[in-house]
Amino acid sequence: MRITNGIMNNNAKNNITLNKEYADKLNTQVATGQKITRPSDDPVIAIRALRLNTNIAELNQYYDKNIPDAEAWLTTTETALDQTNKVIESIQSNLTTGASDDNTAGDRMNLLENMSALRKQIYAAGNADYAGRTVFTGYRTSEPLTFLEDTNNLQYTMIQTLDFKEVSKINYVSGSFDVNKSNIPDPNDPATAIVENRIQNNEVFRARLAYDKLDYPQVNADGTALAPEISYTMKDGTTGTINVQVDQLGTDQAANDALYTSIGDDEVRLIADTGELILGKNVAEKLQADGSKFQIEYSKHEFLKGDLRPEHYFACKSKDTADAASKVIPYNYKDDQTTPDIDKDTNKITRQKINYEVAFNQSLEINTNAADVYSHDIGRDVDELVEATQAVLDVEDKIKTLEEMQKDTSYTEDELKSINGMLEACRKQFDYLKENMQQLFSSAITRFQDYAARLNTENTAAGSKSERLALTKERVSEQRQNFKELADSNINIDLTDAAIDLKSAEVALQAAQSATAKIVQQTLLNYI
Amino acid sequence: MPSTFFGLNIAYTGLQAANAWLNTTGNNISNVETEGYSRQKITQQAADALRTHTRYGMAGAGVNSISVDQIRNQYYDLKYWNSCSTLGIYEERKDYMMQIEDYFTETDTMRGFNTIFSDMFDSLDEVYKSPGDDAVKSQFLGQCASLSNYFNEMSTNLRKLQEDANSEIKNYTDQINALASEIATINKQINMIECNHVIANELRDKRALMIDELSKIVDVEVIEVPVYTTEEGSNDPNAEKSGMNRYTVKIAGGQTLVKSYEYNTLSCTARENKVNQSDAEGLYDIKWSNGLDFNLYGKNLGGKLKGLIEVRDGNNDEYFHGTLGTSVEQNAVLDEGGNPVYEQKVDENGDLVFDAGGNPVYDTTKPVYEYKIHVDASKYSYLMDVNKMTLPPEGSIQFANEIFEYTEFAAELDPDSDPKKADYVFTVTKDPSAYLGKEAKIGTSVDYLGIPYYQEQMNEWVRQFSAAMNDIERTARGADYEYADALLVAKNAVDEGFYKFDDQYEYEATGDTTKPRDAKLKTINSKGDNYYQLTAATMMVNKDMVTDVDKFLTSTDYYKGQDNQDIAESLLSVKTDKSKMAFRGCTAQEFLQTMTADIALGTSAASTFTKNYTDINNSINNQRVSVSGVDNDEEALNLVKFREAYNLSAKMMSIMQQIYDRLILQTGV
Repeated sequence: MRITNGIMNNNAKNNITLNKEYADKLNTQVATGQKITRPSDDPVIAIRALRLNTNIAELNQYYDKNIPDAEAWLTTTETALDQTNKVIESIQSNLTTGASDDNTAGDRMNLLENMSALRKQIYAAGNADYAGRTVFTGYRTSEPLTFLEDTNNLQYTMIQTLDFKEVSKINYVSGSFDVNKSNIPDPNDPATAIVENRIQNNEVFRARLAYDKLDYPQVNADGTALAPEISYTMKDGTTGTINVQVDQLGTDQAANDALYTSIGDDEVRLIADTGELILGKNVAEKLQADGSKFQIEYSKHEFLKGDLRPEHYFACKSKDTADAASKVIPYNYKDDQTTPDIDKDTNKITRQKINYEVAFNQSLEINTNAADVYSHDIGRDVDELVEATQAVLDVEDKIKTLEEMQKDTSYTEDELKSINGMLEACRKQFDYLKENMQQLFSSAITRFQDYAARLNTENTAAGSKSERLALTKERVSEQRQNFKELADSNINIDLTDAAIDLKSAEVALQAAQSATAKIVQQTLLNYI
Repeated sequence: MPSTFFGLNIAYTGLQAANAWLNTTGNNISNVETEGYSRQKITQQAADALRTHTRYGMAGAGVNSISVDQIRNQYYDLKYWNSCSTLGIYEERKDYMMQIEDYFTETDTMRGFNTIFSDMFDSLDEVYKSPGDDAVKSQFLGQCASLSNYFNEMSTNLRKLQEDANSEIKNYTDQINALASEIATINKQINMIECNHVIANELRDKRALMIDELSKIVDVEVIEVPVYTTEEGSNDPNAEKSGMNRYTVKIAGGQTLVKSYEYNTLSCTARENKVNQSDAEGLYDIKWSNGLDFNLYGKNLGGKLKGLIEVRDGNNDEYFHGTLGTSVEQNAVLDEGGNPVYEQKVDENGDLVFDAGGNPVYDTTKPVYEYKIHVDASKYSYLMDVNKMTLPPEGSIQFANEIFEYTEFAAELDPDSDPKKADYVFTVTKDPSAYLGKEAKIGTSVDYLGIPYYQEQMNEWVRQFSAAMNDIERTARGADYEYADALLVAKNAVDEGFYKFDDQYEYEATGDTTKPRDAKLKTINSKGDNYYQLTAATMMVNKDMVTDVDKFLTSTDYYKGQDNQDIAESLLSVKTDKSKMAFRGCTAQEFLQTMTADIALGTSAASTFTKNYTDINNSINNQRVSVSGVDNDEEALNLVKFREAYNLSAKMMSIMQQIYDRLILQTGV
């Protein structure tokens, strides 16, 4: 082939360009520290970099945001549970006192004050919030667990589910009477005379509802009348309904006693003031049978500060009666708005689980549900204990008054006879009530151990979640480190290698330049 | 016995020849750096010898310089031109692919799809953690807007790039026109010189240089045939070459550009109708100025023009085509009031008739009709998916060889039925009865991943993603049990509002249940409220939700509480759950990976081929230069050589002078 100066020039130019391109590439690599400047330099590296960066971004989200949020939530939960635990412990220490036989009236007074004070604190910790979101209330984080003030403008109807274990036999002491110093009943008139026999201890079948002070008469959230009924399911699958008769306590003691003591075998009575279902013998037998479940819908609109809000526990409907335009709001119903959303296994409303994604394909259920910790029974139990103590104290007061009256010489003989009769009755009543109270307290000891145990279970669960989270956190941190290193080695150059390559590229370029410089200068003409 | 003075003549021819050579060498040296110049040489021959009738026979008569010839090999020219055309394709591809690559690349400083998408899902994760928090929800909607903006911008960028390619196409056709006219002129000049049987070396070089330039723009084919003195041409045994040649230049796969002294020009006309839904407005169609069709999409097209066409129109071989149905439905066109529309009256001169007030006068005997005709496109799976639909809402469609305008179309698609269904109904303005059963198509196949392809890919992803998100969001319910609206919607350019794709969701009899329609059977109307309206350019976040964040509902049951996570959880799963959304077999978040694969490989291939063909081109050029290039050393040698030759002939002269001196003055005197 004939080589002309032009060809030599062309080739020299091409060679220098090639060397320059290579040097430029290496120079860019050294300057940026990266293997590629654009995806087409090496599509494989570019695509891998995209994938790794996506992973790192996800891990950052887990590590920097989700895990700390979950930690804080769990810490809030644990702190609240610890506080509640302390309250329960205090109640428990009072229970032993109450159960003992040798309390003076003063001791009982103390007990009453202590219990009343503790009653107010039980649910307070349940309102704990993390960043403005209540932690125990499932998805309803904007609502506190309890009413924060006395509320009577919300008309609730709720469906409470109960089971056979919640039907119990209680003692009801009937025949209570008032003592009036100036109005002594005539002992000779059998209609008014008070004799010891008047006081009776009755065994009554009862199921306690979650709330007292229910509506009388019962109304639906939309204002229409509500006729409560019990619908039950036996273990063998038979179902049925029983009408419930709603009554309220009045001023007439005999009538009030009758509400408890006289009930047809197949009847059920709801006493609105106390929220108790009094069951007839046959009904009780049915509902108490092993494996029976039943539910009842009832209404209530008077709530006190500290009462648990029904929507966290029951399928319920509520309407704001102060706002005529407001709608009936259904809580815990299925999509059709009529079927209560009740979990078949637990017989409670379906648990609302809040999950946080804390690692690849790993989510953590971070919330503890109020229904598992803060049961209505705790408050109702304490209320009953307080009432029982109060009742004993009241009778003690009456006895004291009657004893003073006995010593009073201004009474006639008939009156004294009557006073003696009353005193005997009261002493009998005192014996019954004290006995009942002690029984209540000692049975409450077991019940509160239960509550404490349940609380501890949840507290431990939250604690172990925290521990697992700590492990996850460590793992995520490690993963993130690994991915960062992978991403690093994927795209970053080895500086030493690149620097050496660059140096040799420089040398090659200079050589090409110097060779070219010599070869293009000389032609034959120089020698002619 | 030759004349005594014969030697002087011989020496004279020698001097002449050496002189000619020296001049030619001088010319070569002067043009050593002239582009396209071919070195020249003197063709010389020993002169006819004289018959001397002597014992020693013939007497040489010196030398004849016959012609100045250029040294050039046509074969290398052809090779060079072919290689230039191929290189041109890859250069343009590389140029544009790198720009597309730049748009899609994300760097530490420039937020790309991956960053935006993962930010969006991070903020969705925050919504998942506390769905009741309005601030977090607003933030998520903001991130959705970022994603929409990203696609809006990308679409605009690609459209601008398409416009750039388009205007380059115009520039190149102008250049082709200019070159054509110059080549025709130069053909004439060459023939005027060469009819005297001399060679127009410099003009030929100049013409070849023009072809060099033309070959970069478009593939060329050059045919040069001699013109004979008789009409039968080379078939006539008595024919002689006239010295003139017929020089023909063909481009774009054999379409004649220049024929001797005549040439054709190309003209660009802006399209009235788009070929693809996301195309830029007014892309150019190229035609010959004489009205004949210029085949822009031929397989043999080459050069930069081909590269540009591929980038501008490349649709990966996916375009709308199918078979026309066997019946036509004819309907009278009605105006908004429901009255028939008539054609305007035409007078005997063929002019439109207006009344005194300048208003058109209508001919009530000629109602305007529109025609509905089915096109079966079930052969192609990409025509069975609304997400992949690229045909414009209105435009032109070709039935066999005739162009029809359609005002709208509807499509019923069901890839799972047997037989598969892709039944398109076009409403056209002319009666298509003559074409029943024939082929129908919009645009044509351009087997390259060009801008329309990337637009289609973006549209497809955006449609799939929005549908996946909306299907979930539309199951969320508010305080009145009302269902939520679509989250990601499409801008409606006509009324400044937006499409919520209501056509694709069915309402049950109660009127309040919204569910996606059976995904397998979808009827799409080009003017309807459906996902066809959604493109990367029109994507946006539901404005109602942005202004009132409470309209972005996050629970299937409002009264379960504000932190019910179900909707947010489902939305989150769209990111990685292929059953919710699979784009080319990958998850939603792998969009950029799949696109990068296409783009980076495309760019990388274009770069590699550009480099290879540059090398090949250089080497062919070197071969060409090897033949026709001027070499300094050679010319220097020639200078010495012909100086010596000249000197020798001069010496001969002086010897002859001595001989005459001896003979005339001293011999016999």
